[in-house]
Amino acid sequence: MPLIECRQIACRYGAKEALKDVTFSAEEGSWTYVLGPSASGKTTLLRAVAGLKGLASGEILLDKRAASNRRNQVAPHERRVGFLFQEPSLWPHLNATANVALGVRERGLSRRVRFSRAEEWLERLQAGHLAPKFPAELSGGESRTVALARSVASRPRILLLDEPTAHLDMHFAERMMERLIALHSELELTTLCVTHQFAPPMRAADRTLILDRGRIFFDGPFQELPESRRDDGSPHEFLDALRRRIE
Amino acid sequence: MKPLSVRSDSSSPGSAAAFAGLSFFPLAFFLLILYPLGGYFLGFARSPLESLAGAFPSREEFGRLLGILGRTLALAAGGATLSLALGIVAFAAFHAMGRRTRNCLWALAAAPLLIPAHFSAIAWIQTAGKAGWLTLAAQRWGMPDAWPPALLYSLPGCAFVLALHFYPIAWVMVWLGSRTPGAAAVESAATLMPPGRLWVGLLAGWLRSWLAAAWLIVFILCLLDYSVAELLRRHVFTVEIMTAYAVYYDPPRAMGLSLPLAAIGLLASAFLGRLLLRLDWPAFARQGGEWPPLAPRQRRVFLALGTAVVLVAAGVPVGNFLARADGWESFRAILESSFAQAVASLAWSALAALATAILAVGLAALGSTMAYGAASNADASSQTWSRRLTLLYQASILSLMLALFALPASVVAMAHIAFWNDPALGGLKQAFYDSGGMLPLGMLTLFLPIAYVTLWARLRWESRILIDLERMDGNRSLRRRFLLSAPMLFRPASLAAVVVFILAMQELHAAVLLAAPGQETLSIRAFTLLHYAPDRLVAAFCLVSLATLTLGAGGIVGIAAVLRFALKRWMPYCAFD
Repeated sequence: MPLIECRQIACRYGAKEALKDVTFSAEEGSWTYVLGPSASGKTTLLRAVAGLKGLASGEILLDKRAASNRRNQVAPHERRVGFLFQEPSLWPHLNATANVALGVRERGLSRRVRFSRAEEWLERLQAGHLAPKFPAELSGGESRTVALARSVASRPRILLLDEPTAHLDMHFAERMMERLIALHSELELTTLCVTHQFAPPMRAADRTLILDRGRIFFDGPFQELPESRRDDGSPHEFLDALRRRIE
Repeated sequence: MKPLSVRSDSSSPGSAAAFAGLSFFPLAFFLLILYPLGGYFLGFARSPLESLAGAFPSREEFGRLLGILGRTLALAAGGATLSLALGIVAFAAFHAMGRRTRNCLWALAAAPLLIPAHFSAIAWIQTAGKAGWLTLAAQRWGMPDAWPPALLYSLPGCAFVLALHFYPIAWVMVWLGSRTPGAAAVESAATLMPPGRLWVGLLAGWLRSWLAAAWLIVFILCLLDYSVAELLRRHVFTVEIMTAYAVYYDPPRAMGLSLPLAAIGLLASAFLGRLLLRLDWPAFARQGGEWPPLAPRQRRVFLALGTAVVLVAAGVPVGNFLARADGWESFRAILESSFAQAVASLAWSALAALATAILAVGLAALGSTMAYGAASNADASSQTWSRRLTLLYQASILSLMLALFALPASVVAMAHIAFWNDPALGGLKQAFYDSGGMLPLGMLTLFLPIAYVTLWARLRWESRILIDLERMDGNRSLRRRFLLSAPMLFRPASLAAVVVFILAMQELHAAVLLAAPGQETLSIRAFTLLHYAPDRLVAAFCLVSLATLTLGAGGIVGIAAVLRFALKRWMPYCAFD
């Protein structure tokens, strides 16, 4: 059953059209990679699904219910979506535990319980030692781990990952991907992952979306990548590069 | 193979150009500001007992002054707290609007800062005083008519007028603070919690330092206010100092009296400095996250409250003056009665304010860029003493600026009078004392800190990487400053010039003491008119003054825009901030 359905969605930034006529759906529990050259609309797609970006046209359904359309926009916090941003997204005045505790959303919990749940999430991601640290004291990879703990602490059904391994060293990037894939199956998440990392885990993806100039260029299993030519006959450099990396 | 030549860094702190640049600002700062003020305070240090005995001659007098000091502190704390509350309401109201509406209306919300505090006080006297609209309306409707004047001529009334004047400062600080967390932090929180919780739970916590800094700034400004308290007949410490100096001409007593006020101001300023260093000043330019919209009901409530705040703060003074001026007759009457005087005071005020703005921005630009340049050069130096020395230089200048900000205007004026009205140097000083230069100099002392902190805040955002790249390219220190800092400082320098111009046009406290005989500023003239002219003339004069002030500020913005346009054409490769 599809959990995410995008129907002919379009998004604009002023006069610039970031997404045009994008239609796709993601099955519950699936992992979908979203690829594409810079400024192709990958992050905008994630933001639209999260409800952080309004639609110019089209509709997004989450769990068969209309979440975004021209008339109606369900608030981001009501969508049960976890978002791991590419940029630093921790609150600088809160330590790691307090940042993760923001994600613990069950009603009626005392502050102490929320904080201990947050610490449990950090432990689970092997980042318990970071609990008392403030964002300024964390490295890039460590802050990304804390941000991930915060995203999953809210027990989302959908996880949106925007370049989860960007700016991380190879070892840390590998560990991060392993963690993400483990969390994905453990928590039965539906994941959309924007990435530039063409590493083996990608082959395990259920599906790959390639965006180009705001449109879906390819939607399907990874092994069935199309010819490296656009409809107008121009060469598709991104796809060429991608193919070379895989080979 | 050609050997690698190693040359010393031409931009090290020891280079001649850097040294010349580094030393000009402190020299000018010392000669124009620190020396006169320092001499005055040293004069006190020579005979502290005499000044203190003059200020606090008996136990009864000490008790009376303690009461006045308590009243002054209560007024300042009340004014700061109220303006913080109003600033938060204005911020929330603005957030409830669409981006375009917000962009159109921000000037209206900031308008109270354009209206001099004593004009607001005059307007409120004409509204809720004994012959005010509100009092007469209460009479007409058969209601008790004593409450509006009783409320206005009280400490809470005075705090209310001050808060309405200063709330835009709190509003701007809250707005700047709200921009600092960055879009990703705000948006990731928005996926986790409802907007109400995000606002109360996160924004309030994040803004603690900003709110505290805003409170301290307004507290200091209310503490040092003279005009509103004087007009509303609240006997606070600034009034006591002015009375001792200007009425009884007792400088030692005035000096002794200014000490407690200066000490409290300096303490508040020290806390403020600590907070300013902690704040994330990139707020000035960073693209902050858009905070999620509030629930429709909350939005309506805040919009209504915000509109009420702006209407009361800007609408009451301007509306009152327009209604009171009662047509062209009043304007004609001002000009007919003393045309030359009216024009002279307009021209003189504008000229003095413009001179102050140019001097303040010029000195601040020089001082802040040199302090930053020295620090970045010293960072690359291998000598520890050089690094420490430049950091000390930077910290000392900032501390001195904050200390100046906390000094009562009367103390600054008294210090300049004591220094320049001195027969030493063969009458050179006295010649300056008799000239019209005293007022701009006094106002420069008062407002230089504002210009300096504005530019300093912008420079803190200067990219370390860019500086290092320029250094690697071998650009000399001054060229580096010119290439990187000057374009970057253009907008904050224009902002500082406008702010200093407005403040200088509004200045009353120091102007009363420093204006040369026969030279009357707009503020002084409005203050004088209030005591003998009919209400309609006062209102007409206030409107003319406000128009002059707005035109002057607009003129500076226009000149800055033309200059920016010209510079961009001249240097198309350089993006001006």
